[in-house]
Amino acid sequence: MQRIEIIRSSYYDSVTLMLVAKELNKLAGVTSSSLVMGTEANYNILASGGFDVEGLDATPNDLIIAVMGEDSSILENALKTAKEYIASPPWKKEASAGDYRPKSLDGALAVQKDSNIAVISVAGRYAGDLAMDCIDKGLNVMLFSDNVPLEKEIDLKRAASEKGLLVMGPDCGTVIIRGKALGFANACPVGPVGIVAAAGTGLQEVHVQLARRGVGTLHGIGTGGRDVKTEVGGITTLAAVEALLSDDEIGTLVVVGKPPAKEVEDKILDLVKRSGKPSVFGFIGGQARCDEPPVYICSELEETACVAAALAKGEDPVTARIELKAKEERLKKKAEEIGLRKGYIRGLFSGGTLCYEAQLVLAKHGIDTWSNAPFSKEKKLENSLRPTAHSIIDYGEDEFTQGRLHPMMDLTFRCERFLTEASDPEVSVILFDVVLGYGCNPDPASLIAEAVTASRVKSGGRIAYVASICGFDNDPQDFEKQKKILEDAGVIVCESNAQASVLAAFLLAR
Amino acid sequence: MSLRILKEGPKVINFGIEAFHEDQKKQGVPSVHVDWKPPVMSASLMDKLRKLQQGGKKKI
Amino acid sequence: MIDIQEANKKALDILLKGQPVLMDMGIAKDTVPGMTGRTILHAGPPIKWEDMSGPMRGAVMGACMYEGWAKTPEEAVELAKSGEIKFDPCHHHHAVGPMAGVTSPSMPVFVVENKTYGNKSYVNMNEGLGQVLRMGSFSQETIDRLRWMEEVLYPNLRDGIRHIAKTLGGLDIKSIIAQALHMGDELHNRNKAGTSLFLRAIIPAMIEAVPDVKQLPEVIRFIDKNDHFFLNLAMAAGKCTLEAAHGVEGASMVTTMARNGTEFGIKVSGLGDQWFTCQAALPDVLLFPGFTKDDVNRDIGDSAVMETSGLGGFALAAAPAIIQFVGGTAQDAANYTMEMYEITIGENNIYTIPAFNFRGTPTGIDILKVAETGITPVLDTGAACKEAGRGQVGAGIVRMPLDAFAKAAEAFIEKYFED
Repeated sequence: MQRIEIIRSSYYDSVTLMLVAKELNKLAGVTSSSLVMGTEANYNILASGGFDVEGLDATPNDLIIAVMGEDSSILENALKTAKEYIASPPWKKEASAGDYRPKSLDGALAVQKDSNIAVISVAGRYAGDLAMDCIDKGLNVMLFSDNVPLEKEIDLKRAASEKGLLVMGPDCGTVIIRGKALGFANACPVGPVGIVAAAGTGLQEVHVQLARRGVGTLHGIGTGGRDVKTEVGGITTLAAVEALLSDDEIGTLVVVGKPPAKEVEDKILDLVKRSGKPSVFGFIGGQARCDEPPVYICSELEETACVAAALAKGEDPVTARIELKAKEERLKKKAEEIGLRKGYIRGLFSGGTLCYEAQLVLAKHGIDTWSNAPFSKEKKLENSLRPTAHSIIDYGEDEFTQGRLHPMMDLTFRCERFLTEASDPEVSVILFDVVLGYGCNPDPASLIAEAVTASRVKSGGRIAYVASICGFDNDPQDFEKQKKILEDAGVIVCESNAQASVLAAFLLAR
Repeated sequence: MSLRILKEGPKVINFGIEAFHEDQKKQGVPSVHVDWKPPVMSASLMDKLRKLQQGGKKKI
Repeated sequence: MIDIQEANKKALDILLKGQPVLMDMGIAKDTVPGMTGRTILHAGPPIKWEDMSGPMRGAVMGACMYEGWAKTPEEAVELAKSGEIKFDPCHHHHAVGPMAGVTSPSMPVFVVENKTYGNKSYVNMNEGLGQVLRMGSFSQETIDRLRWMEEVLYPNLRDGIRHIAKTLGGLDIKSIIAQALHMGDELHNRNKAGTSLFLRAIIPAMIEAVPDVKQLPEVIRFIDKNDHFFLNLAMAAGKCTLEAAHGVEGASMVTTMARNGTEFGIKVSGLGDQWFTCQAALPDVLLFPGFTKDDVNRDIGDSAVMETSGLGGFALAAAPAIIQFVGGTAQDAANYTMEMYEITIGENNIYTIPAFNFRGTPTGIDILKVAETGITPVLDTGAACKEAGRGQVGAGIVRMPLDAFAKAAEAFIEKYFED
């Protein structure tokens, strides 16, 4: 049975809500609990979790506490406990003494007068105004929040531009400044590369692939996914490109993301050509195009890193590309060793760009995929929770993250999907990403290994589990350890997202 | 245009996810976490307030 | 459009330039403006008899009997119901009163003058602890004490104060407050140092000025036994400095903040005479033995004038000893004060906090900052028993309710915003 309670006009951050739910699930007799804000998306998530949401009138400003359990007294207690935990989190017992935590922007500026950037990850409907206040006070802004309206984004970027400030976002998950990671980012060495990226995991993958080739990155500037579209006009991208081109600490520029609007692309290329600095463009899913050294055009992430690394090391990028291609070809043999099979590929992704790239690589190998974030409109899944045929799902998309933690932090939902896919007898390959670094879950490999093991039991060895780890040696999670945990669970770990996608394609018998 | 922050390194005011603040501190990045809550006043009142606060400063 | 920052700067400036000096004493009906024959002044925003809580009613009843308008508590109740008594906030008469704050025509009051701007404020004398009128007691003991205060305490103090006024120009209250702040008082819940410093000043003056020095030992002993005696003077000092800062066009600074046991109310410098009110907070304080949560009356008293002028809960970092009494750590005391900087216009020039490198206390509550941040003023206050006359039930940190500030902020924006 279930009980649902609504607390009106209350705001709680999703971390607290998640942790409270976790604690509630520890109570005897509670089978499931969910604490979410009353958004439409969350209604669907509650419904899919088995809750009956008929007649609920919670608004996005209201908190819904939903619990399922054995009997009504257990549920009453659970609701009571939930409210106690929200007011006084049990995991925060020693929090009191310590540094003062200001409650406002002005308070923070009084404490740290030389602040130069605000990192904002509050709910999207508040984030825009908060960002504008920060710009008014002369701060750059990293806007991690999504669901910020387009008009607001344009206002913010125009205001920032007038003051020589950057707005990185909305929906910007990764920023690197002088080698320091803000948001989700990996602990890679510092070097002469500067990256401008429309997307978080796009930046992360390139960052990591460069590091694996012995090349460090000094700055990684996120612009948010809409920046290079016509409406925004590339304000942040162009400002970042200009700054990096004129920066003498930067020897190689990398620009990565989905292909920009034509006029924005032209402006970027113009800047780059006039500067003459070696530059690599990773237009993921872009049209094939000729390089014009020292400007190189790539269409995949590892390729981009490979070419940029060669430039940084003074090697020949063309040779580097050829070697990478050869590596991919060798994956055919690996696929045969694993065993070719018929059936469908299901992609379970936490990184948006990685999900996108996977679709493109599979398409290149003749495999058409459905997705909740497809590169072509006709292949959009009607229901993200009901994949069909070959489907590659991005669990970081809006419908999954309203009032919920990002899947790079909380793997619960994605792990459940390993089991769901295992029950589909037509699924024979599961392709996924494991993202490490700051901001991410402290031990994703263990959680996934558990899910894979359970999934394998259910599917009886029918499925090949193929993954790549977006991570590096010095990441908090310990890259080598994470790799071992996955491999011990029978996951085939590839060197990059592109290679993992190629291997998945090769695994299908034709 | 040059961006000063690229030379200075980040000095962060963090709103929202506390884990980011912790990670920033772990890397030695100066960071202040704000115990932020949504404003009590409606969006339209906040908008008027902002204009009011700026209006006085613009001397015509 | 009006420049709010400039207006607030001006209002704060006036507040800080105030020079509150104790000049005189007098009987309320002869001294407090607007004190007619049957007026009873009370703490907080306007309130009718029907809405008064236990302590307030008890104090009104006690005052009626002290004045001789009623012989029994029952008669006093009938009189209060009848409409014959004019109830009015102390604040409407340039006065303040702690807890129930009941001030009646025959009561002696202190006269504190703001030398910089010429305005005056009034407050009665603090009775001490236990069975006292301001906690709602109407017992014979209470009334007898009030009579003694009128007949013995008052004339002696008055003569001493007048002597100081003649010879030294008056007793500088601000200076005593500043010193007391460095001696562990925060001037709301702790006034021991202030009371001691006051005694040091008044004793020699009384010895020189009073007709019969044989009365002085009981006078001095009375004040000595009452650690809160100085509170009333500090409150009057706050009141007269704040009043001078009221009426600055475009200023969002709070000039009055008070509770009457039922409602909480504020007035804002740039919003004229309007009270913005809401239900008073139910104090969640550390309870004295013998009392339970059910005994606590809603927040009551004009003593919030201390926080309004940058002291009390706004100066906790200067009085860490008191925080132990309310169950916190020294870091908590510092954190509360740090928080108050986020909702005030500026820092005090004279009242400073040694632990913060002598940084001035957060002064000048800004309703707009309160509404923007949701941070409400923190008071360090006592709580009264619901049942009239049972005294104080506890003390601690109490947050003022947000609603009144939100209403005031909305009114402010509607008044001053131009399209």
